[in-house]
Amino acid sequence: MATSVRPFNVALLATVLGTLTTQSPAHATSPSRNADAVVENFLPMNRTSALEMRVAQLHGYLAQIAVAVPNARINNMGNFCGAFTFYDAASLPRPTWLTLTEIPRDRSVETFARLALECQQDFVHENGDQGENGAFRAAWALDFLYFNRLADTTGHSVADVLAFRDSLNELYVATVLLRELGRSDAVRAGVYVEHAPDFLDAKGLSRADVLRRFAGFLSAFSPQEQPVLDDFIQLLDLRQDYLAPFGRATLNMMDSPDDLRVLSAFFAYENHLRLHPELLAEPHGGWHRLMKITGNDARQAVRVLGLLASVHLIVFRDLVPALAHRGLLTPAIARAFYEASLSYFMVNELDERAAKNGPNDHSLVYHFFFPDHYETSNWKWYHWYNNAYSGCELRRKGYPKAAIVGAIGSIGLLYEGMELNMAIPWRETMKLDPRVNPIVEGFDDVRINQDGAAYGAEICH
Amino acid sequence: MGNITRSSTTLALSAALSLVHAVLSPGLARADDTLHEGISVEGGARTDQRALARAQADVAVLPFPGGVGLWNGPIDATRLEITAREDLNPIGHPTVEQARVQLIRWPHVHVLGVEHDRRMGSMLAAEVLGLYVPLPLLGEIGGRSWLVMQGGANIGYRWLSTDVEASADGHVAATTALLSLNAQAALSGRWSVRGLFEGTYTAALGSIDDRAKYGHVAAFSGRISLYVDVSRGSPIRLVPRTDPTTGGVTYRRETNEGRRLRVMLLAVEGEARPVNTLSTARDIATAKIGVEYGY
Repeated sequence: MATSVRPFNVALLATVLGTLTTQSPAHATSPSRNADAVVENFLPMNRTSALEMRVAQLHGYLAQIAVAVPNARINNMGNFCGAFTFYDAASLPRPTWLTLTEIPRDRSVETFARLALECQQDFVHENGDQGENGAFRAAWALDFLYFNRLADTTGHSVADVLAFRDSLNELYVATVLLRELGRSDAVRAGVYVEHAPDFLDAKGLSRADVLRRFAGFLSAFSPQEQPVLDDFIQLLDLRQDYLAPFGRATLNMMDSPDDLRVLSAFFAYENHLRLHPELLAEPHGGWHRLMKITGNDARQAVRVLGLLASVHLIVFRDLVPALAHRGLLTPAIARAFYEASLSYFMVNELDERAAKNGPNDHSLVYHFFFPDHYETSNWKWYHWYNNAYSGCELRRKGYPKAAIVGAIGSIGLLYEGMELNMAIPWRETMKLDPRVNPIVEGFDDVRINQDGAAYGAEICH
Repeated sequence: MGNITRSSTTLALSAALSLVHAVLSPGLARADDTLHEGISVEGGARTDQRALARAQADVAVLPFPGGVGLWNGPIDATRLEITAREDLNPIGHPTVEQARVQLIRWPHVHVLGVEHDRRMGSMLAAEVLGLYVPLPLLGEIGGRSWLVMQGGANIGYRWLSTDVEASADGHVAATTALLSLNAQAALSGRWSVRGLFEGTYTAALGSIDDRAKYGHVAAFSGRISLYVDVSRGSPIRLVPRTDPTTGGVTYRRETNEGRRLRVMLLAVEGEARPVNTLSTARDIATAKIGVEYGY
């Protein structure tokens, strides 16, 4: 039985960003329409006035979607609007699923729009937040449907559900940045803000040693992988009590004007794609654009996208308040966090929209943001880019490609094996196949990790 | 008719008693299908002129490690199973051939199982821990056909008894290495074929006939079964999307996951033990029918 589709006006999400000027048309320099596309200048989100405008625009967008559900309440609105972090998202699937079962599935998108608005407009907040957690929780719930292949059961196309999810995440990011930018300005103006120890105070993760030993055990039959694993774990730069990977490398990227230029140009291009979805028909078009933006520097492309793939809401939530408390959240860094956090989700949304039908009746082939030689039926683009970045950094330290790919495979195997312990009960709760699918998906993730690492090792000498 | 009724009652009573016995005593687990989860009952006949009945259930009694704050609910990790048999020529008394209770029986981890298993000559046995690596050889995310290889080993204890067809009485520490191929092929939305082929090698060391001795069993088994999904509601849904090249709507097929009621129309099993110094079990073949409600 076919599911009916209720389309969104996704282009609206880009137009409300506020186009300031249109660049004059450039001459075509390559056969790629994406590489030569003339992209609008979007309003940079680096000032409180811009962020306030964007929050108002997003409220308007959500209100438009929520019209179909004028009154939406769930049993525990206080919990829905209350504190919610990435850690809760990762570890509490049962409450998320119970929330979803409270809402008619075919009205869940519209209901989440209404609930997110109610959290921001009608709820009393006691923790200094502005109700943005409701938007984050709603976005997570839709993500939860997506990565369990249930997004279509909302009655919208999968890509449209992701676009709506992205508007919720954007509302969350804009609200947090608005508050933290104000705090950072106050600190710079001499107002003292007391804060608890945070990410920038945290020590290195001692449990990383355990990880190293486990991974070393897996590599016992391949001793050349051992030093690679050591360096890989250092590169991850995990901190005590935090999940955020690549924290130091991310801050370095934020200090690099050219990396920030690439990030902003890429973000503008993503919004341009929402206005011009016909560009998504070009095989590997997004990669062609990346090559244009970076001047054919694949190393910079995998560094910027590899790191922004980690920024999304883990590094964002840990680093942004820590910088603000020290008065270090500058307009340039705020803009970078805005663009990096949202790009993580927008690549996924656009990749889903651009995907080709697969060779069988159930899969899609993702190609748009990958190099010409590569495509995959795995939607987790960030696995490829994360590991392409890691593979590149490890190759620069002189390790052979085979050892890098082997080590990334070993640590991926360990991670996915541990993940099974969570995935099986998660999927039982959702009444989805709890055993075979997590195994197949876990190994597919290891494979895409290794593909990314192999590419990174090839382009960096 | 009266004989059948009495026999069934005895079978049920005997099965229940044996299950209680197995729960209260230690034993060792045997390899089986850990990729399908749910409730099933099967019945059939074997080449050793015995009828058998088998029931299996994965139940949620174990709270998730880490407590309520982390997970807030139990997990369907605990497996209960029992197989009873009865001689057909001449008609004999029902006997529990195998019974197992295991706290966690997942594809990759087995924890704390107790078992009674005549085929292994074990009055009781305990599987302390088993670790396995499942490796998908065929299959894709969202696919309905797959082939998964599993390899690993467990450690445990066995009480061998000639009363339950062991070669000798004894108490041994044992380890079983397993290599299996588990496959499912979707013939259509409702019809599927499953296959499970495995080889195990059990090495046991301990007191056998009051002497320190070593014993071992190499076993090979295979099973092919045909299932039809008889649940209400389509097992497949069509997911529409806009093709980026043509702008037209295309559809892909997605499985409506969840527990489904399936009838096992036929299963054919075979079991051979080319090396066996622990039990008196012979090579057998079995034909079965059954029903399952599960994944």
